[in-house]
Amino acid sequence: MSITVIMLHYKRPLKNLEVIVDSLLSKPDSDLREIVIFNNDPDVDLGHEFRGATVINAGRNFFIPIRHALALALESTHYLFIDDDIAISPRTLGIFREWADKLPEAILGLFGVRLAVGSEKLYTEGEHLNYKTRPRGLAEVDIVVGRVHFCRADKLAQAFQWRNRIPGTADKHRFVEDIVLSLANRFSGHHNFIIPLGSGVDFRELPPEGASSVCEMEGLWQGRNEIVLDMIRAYGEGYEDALGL
Amino acid sequence: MTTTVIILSYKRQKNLCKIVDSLWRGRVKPAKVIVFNNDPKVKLGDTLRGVAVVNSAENLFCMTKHALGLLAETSHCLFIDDDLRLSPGALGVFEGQGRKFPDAILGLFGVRLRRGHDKPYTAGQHFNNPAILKKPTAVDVVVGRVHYCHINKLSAAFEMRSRIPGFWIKPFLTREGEDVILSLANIINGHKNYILPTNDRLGYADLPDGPHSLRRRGKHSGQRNLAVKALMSLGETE
Repeated sequence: MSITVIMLHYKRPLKNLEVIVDSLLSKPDSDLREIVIFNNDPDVDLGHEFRGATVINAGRNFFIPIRHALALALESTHYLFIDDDIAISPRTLGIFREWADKLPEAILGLFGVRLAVGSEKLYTEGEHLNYKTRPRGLAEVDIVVGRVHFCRADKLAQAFQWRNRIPGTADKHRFVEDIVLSLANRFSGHHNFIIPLGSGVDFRELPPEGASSVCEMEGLWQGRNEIVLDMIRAYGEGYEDALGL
Repeated sequence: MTTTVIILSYKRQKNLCKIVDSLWRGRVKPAKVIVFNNDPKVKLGDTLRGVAVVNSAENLFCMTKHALGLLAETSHCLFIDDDLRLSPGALGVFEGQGRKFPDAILGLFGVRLRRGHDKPYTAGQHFNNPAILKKPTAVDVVVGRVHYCHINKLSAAFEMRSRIPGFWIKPFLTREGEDVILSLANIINGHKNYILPTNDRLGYADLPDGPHSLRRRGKHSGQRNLAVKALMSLGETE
């Protein structure tokens, strides 16, 4: 297994990047190939290299799906995607790797959502598993929330194939790439999980200030419900069985 | 129908202005132009007219252009190498032919593979001079110097690549074989690819390609044979 960590940067404190990169490189996992920072902020130039991470500076904001697209141009077997407001330890990366060996077809993460059966708002009214509400053990979810997620490279290609089946313009995909990745995997007959905290799995929230928080964006949650419905429509009849609802 | 033009730049920065200016002079204009600079030694600024520039700190090779195309906010992408300037009318012709052949990969240069041969690509029939073509001509592989397609074709190609066992340890399939993969994935999926004749509106000029051209590398052609065989065996299996 070879792992590339991909991190997007947009408007958050540079100190966050330092903490995240330093943490991962403090005792690098043996399978860690490189850390790539895609800087989506045209007002900031991070140079060529940031504390050991490779930098790509964009002249415009390519939004969140760029991280999945970028991975398709790289050469690792597996990818860890991490937002720039959360730090994990090298041990956590190692545990992702161990779970990926056991569950090779899964999208893995730290936060997730089980969709709400029978609701029009399947995502927002679903069961959200975060560090306050999550069970102790491995937990199956429909959606692995994009803040931290780990998967095999071919899962990304699968997700982009699914994206084509959803009507509408590319801008509707700007903040839902985690849903498309997860549901494409579920509809392809696989399961997704959030891994247990403890035993070395940890994370640290970092200051979000400076960023225009995606969570507070108007229409974000409605957009996440809509993309779930779009994918269900694209799948067609029998989606309940496919999702085990 | 709208088009994003994606240009990959590596050590030929001097050509970019000519390539981009010609695009903007056409009656049919691109919706967006993106230049991905793969040369870590050079930082491209904002001097290129109407272009979004991405500067990479390492060479991510040719596959990057298709990865960027996945995110295009247009229906189609036109990919141009940084050693070739298309005429101002070219995009209009590609869009027109794209309507006529909606499922095709279109380009100017191509190869008909020699089936059953050990070197199906290099021993194939190479079409390097679009000026002698009378009409759109079917080929197996549209050579990546110039190609045009619906963005759905890009994800189909990445999906097809992911079915090749161990593709990630074959550098050609992760770096430089993007045109072979795109074209053959389209054929395996039941479609055809065409190269177009040049004329008053669709023309091109070669620009200085420097010492870094992939075509100058002997190994490059051999790798294309291997990529073709990997994809063809996938097609036969399925």
